[in-house]
Amino acid sequence: MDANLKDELPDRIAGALSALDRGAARRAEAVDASRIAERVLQRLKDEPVRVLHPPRISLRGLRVAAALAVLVIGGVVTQRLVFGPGRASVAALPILPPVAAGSTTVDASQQQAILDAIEEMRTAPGDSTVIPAAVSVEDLDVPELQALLSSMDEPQHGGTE
Amino acid sequence: MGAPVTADIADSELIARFQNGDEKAATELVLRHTAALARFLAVQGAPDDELDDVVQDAFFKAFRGIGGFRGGSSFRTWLLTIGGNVLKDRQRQWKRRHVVELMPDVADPSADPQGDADAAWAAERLQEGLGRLARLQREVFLLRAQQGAEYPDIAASLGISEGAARVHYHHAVKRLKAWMQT
Repeated sequence: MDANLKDELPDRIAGALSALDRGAARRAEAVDASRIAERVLQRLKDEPVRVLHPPRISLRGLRVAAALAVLVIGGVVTQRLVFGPGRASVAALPILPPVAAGSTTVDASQQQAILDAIEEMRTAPGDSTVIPAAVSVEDLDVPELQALLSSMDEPQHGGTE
Repeated sequence: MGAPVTADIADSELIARFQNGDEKAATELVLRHTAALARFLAVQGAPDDELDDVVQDAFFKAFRGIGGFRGGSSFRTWLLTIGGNVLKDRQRQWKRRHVVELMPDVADPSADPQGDADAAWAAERLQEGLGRLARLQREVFLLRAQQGAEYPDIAASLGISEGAARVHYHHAVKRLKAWMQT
């Protein structure tokens, strides 16, 4: 132990460490370094290197998984949009046109209902199945948004004309 | 086979030679660092009959993982931390076995038997205290106090900051001091 190190340690610990280390050094002398070297080199030759290959990713599998994810998420979102949270099952309710069926199939009242449903989902208290706050009008695609905006404008124009 | 190995060659050069297939370079590295590694492991309670195996395993793992050695720390400090990992794994296997208590080197006849007895007690007490430290604290303490490694070297080998290494050392000394006083 050099002088600097000794200064860092209380005398009692330094003394105890010296005694402990002398015992360790005596035991270390019994280890035959040449024999260790031979064995290590032999093991390096005998034991094959284990290479961890990353799992093979199939493009086709990815596509299928992505399609399934879109179907499931789309289904859940559509159901929540149409039926709202905590409502009755699909079978018990009248069939409404799906959101993504086409811009021309969604009339103004339905679009307003969609907006209300989105807002309801985002603010529903204590509902463990609420879709994350990221779900919003922004989740609609361009044709849906255009249809939504134009149809929301129509009644107002109609009302003023 | 590479060029003859001498003691003057730096570890980094030996590592490069080993990576190019020079077995003598590996042998030289083992000869250079076995004693320090064995001391490092012995002071942490590695049993006599397992010391050879643990040392061997540490070198094996070090050579197998030599590609991951970036030279941020010295080879020795890096090797010692690998040895610490091997010992930790082995100690799990030895759970039911009694870990041999290190006998301090106070067997030589002395004019001060009471002093020898005190030293033996203090050494045993210290070993017990080391076993109670958190692993990082223990390793930093031993790398610094037993092996004389510098903080940047210790920090690089353990993947922590130099400041963290100093803090671990400080806490280790503080805890050992308290333990020795109880």
